[in-house]
Amino acid sequence: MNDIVVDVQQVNKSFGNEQVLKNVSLQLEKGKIHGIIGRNGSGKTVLMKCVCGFLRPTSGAVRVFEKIIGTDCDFAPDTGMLIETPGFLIHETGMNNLKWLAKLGKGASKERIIELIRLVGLDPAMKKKVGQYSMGMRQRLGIAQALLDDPALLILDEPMNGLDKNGVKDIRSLLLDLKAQGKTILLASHFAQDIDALCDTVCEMDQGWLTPLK
Amino acid sequence: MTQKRFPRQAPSSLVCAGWNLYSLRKNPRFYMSLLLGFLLCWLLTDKTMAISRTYLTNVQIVEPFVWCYADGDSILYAALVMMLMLSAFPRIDTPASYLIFRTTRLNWLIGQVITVFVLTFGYCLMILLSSMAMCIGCNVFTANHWSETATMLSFSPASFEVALTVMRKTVKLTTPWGCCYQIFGLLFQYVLLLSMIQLLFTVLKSRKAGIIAALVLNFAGFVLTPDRFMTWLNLPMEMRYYANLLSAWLSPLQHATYTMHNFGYDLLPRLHVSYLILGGATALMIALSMLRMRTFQFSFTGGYSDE
Repeated sequence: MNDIVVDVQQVNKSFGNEQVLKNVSLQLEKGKIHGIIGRNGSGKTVLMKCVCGFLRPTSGAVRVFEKIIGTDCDFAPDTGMLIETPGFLIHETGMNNLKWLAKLGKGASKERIIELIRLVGLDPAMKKKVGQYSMGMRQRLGIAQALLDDPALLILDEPMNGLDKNGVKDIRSLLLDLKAQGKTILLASHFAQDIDALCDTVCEMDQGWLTPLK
Repeated sequence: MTQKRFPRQAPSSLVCAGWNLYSLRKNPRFYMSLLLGFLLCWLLTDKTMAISRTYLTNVQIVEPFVWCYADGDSILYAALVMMLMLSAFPRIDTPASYLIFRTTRLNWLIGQVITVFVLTFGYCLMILLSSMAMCIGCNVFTANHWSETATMLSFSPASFEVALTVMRKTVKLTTPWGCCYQIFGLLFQYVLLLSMIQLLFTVLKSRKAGIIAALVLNFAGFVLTPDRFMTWLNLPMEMRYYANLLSAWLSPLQHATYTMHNFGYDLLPRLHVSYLILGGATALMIALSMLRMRTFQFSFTGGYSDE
């Protein structure tokens, strides 16, 4: 069985005259945490959106679980994602937001939703609306959303954003647990500590060029 | 242990549409649009209801709707209010991204189209019901024949006082309910076409382009009137019929205007032809949007809002 979960081949992405990704190639092996570091605007998020299927590369191809994104499927299969700041229906509870999302995809059970909300450190019975959540709570809910369908691949863009010290510790521990379960994780972070502590491979994105570091 | 699947799996396009509609429940813009629609209806129908109140004549319940929305200008105003309601569609924000990621591009688009259908139908129905509500306090009846007020407005100089469009042929040739269904259908189709043009240009270019495209269509309706054709072509009054013909065939708004149709004795478009033109154009917009969706670039900028 192929151990390559994500195969990005010579991907270029331009917005008008601006080339954001320059001949990017990347392979992600199964069961590992892969990190991408880079400054704001270096192209990390655009690469993640190309892997997810939200953006189509100008040239090159992205394969996820051997399916070509845009040809074989619209979006990356068996994948959970959290890209940029999480956004939800602000007048609804976290539980209600996840219930709506569970109506699609693999159709997670109510028990699964409750379990996930607890897993990320939130209270499933909480009546608070998402609009009243702190940034850290929204981030946690965003991670729960990404895990909803128990995906084999997780794409997480700055998952530690807005989390306090304990929150960062919890999420790091959660990511290591997921890795132990055989899940593959692509993680982008500003924080070198996250990358050092968690990642098996590390690449740096700089002005659209991707360079392996570890 | 086998876990009970919490949601009953509905077609994903229906889930997307349901989510869109559910998220409107606490959207102030949605309620503001409904209120504006109601106010517009009140302003447009009040001048006609004043006739009934002044002359103490009875009125058929759908007549206020027929009198007002058989006119192109009223349709134009109603469509502009609907544009405000639909300005957030299609949903391409961060909350929607989690939903989109769990379905396909096509299903998501179909979900947007279903949402627009439901909202447009609901809005037109609200206009109809609001205009019926305006009859409260008058001598109103529901039977399918024209009232004394309608007769007065169609065959007496009283019609000029309220500047109504010519209704004489309507009163002669149709019944109130029959006329109401046709006007409702035309209004619905015009607003739907406008919404689908907005959808197409949003997925082709940007949200701003979508709104501009819808405004351009409205502007075309505003400009392509018989009076303007007469001015542009320098036609004398006895040639007005030709200006009517040009306007009725070329202007999308006139296709949605009941009185600008052929009732058997002229060359204006027949009602079914206008339905085909408006419906065909709507179907074309949907088909082009579907084609475009294959390569559409979803650019979520992140954020908390559900707007």
